[in-house]
Amino acid sequence: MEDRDIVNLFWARDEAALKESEIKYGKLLRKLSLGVLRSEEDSEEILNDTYLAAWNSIPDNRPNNLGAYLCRIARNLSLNKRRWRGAEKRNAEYDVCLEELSEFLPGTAGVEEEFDARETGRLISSFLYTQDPKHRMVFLRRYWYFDTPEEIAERCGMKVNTVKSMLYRTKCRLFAYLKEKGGTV
Amino acid sequence: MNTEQFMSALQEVDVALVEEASDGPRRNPVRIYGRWIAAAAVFVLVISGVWAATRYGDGWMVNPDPAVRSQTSTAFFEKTEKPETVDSAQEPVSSAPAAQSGSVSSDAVKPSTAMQPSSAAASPGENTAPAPAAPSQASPEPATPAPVASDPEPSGEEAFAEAPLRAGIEGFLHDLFDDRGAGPIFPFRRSGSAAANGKPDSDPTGSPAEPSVSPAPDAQTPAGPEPSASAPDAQTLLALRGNAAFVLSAEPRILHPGEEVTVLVALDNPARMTSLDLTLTYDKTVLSVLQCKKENPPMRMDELHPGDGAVAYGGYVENPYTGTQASLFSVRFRVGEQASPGETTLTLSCRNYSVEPEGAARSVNLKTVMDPVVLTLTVA
Repeated sequence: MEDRDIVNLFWARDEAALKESEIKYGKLLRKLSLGVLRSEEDSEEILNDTYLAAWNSIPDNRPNNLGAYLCRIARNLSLNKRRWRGAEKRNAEYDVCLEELSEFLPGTAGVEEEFDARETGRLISSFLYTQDPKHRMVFLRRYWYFDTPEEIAERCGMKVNTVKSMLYRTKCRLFAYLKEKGGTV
Repeated sequence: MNTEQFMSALQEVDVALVEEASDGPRRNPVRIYGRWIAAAAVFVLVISGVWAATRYGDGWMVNPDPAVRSQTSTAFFEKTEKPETVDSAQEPVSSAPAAQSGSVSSDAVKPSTAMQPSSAAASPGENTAPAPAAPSQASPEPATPAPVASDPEPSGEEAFAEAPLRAGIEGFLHDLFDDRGAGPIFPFRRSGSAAANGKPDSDPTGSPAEPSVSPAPDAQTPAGPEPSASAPDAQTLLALRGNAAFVLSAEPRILHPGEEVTVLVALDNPARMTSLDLTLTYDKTVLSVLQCKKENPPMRMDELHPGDGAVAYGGYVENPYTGTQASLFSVRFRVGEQASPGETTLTLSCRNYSVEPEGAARSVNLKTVMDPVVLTLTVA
């Protein structure tokens, strides 16, 4: 079923919308939350919360890309849950991503500093728009969707080492850009 | 900023980017395994060619002379049917053409048994070959000496004779791998060569080939793969661009707050376009996007992204687009209820516009000579 039809079901308050969303995006959402939480149980919980949030929010919105919309909700819920859960059950793909980023971001979580996530997000967006579509897709698949380099390589038809070097170079450019633009790096 | 904060900031990136990554290229088995299949096919082709040249000796796969090819075909069948029936009396006949040609030393002639029936087949009396071979064999002088392929250093004519096969392989591989036609995939592709389209540099007789299209009288070769070649100048780019232009149209032009207007973006005289990237910018304080729609553009792959105050569109075609016009996309805007009367402009700017001149091996980017298009709407 097309996204547009599923959104129409949401608007019609038809519960088939949830079933169709699960059929089309359940696997992707499960993988995304597992990438952050590394727990099947939590992942299922996040999935249910995601559908509930979509059910409550879609009549006010009409997303063009339902997959991205649901992923955004699931990612947000997963990150919140992770923060709430503290240091338990680490070692998910998310942690590998954090480790990769720690080379460029030496700051620690406990340090209080002025940080504007929205402004930094805007800077990251403007940087990504300047990049080659393939580079930005690889970057977002890694740090937004938490795909492993192997999965990205398979998805894009590239070698794993190519993906890794592409990620490294993109990160170098991104953090140089953020420093230049006055971001709190 | 620490890593957790960075991840939170990533949550705030533009939704268009997230959507793009969500819809990005998926694993395409044909694309992945196609290369291996093509490589295997080329390998088999090369091995077959080498085997045939070694086994039957005179380069029948590539030799342009029909007489030689027919002789070789005859040799093939004769060799297959009766491999050992060589008459020693025919040996002087087989060596004679080589001596006449003057291009091959007698030392270079292989004493292959396959060659002997080949020459013998040139004799009309003993020929068992199919009818098409007969006219050339009736000639008192064999047109080309049989042992051409055994020449360790082919002459210029023979080198030309390889062109059809080589160009064919190049063209095939080019079509298979270089789906955007945007770069020199194979280092052996020749500059300005018609071989880029799978055509030979020369005709089978060895006369120089005429370039299929000369992009401009004084154009530097845009297809030149040599890194030292300088970039095309503005004059050349303008010549390549021809009458290509973007078209921006809207109806109606005079609007009232709350009204809707549809803006259509099209391409006129595409000039063998291979890829393009456009940005349509608008005043977001006056207009808001209701819908973006592709208008069946002739693209192999294209993307349309509405953003904040701009709509981006990009795509490419597999082969240069030769149509005269192409509708790309349309955007339906609504004039804000609070919009103040006056004029508002929509600007269509080009971030990339590549064309591939006929006969060229790579695309040329014309973005520096593609003018932005401005459309003015009036809010009454």
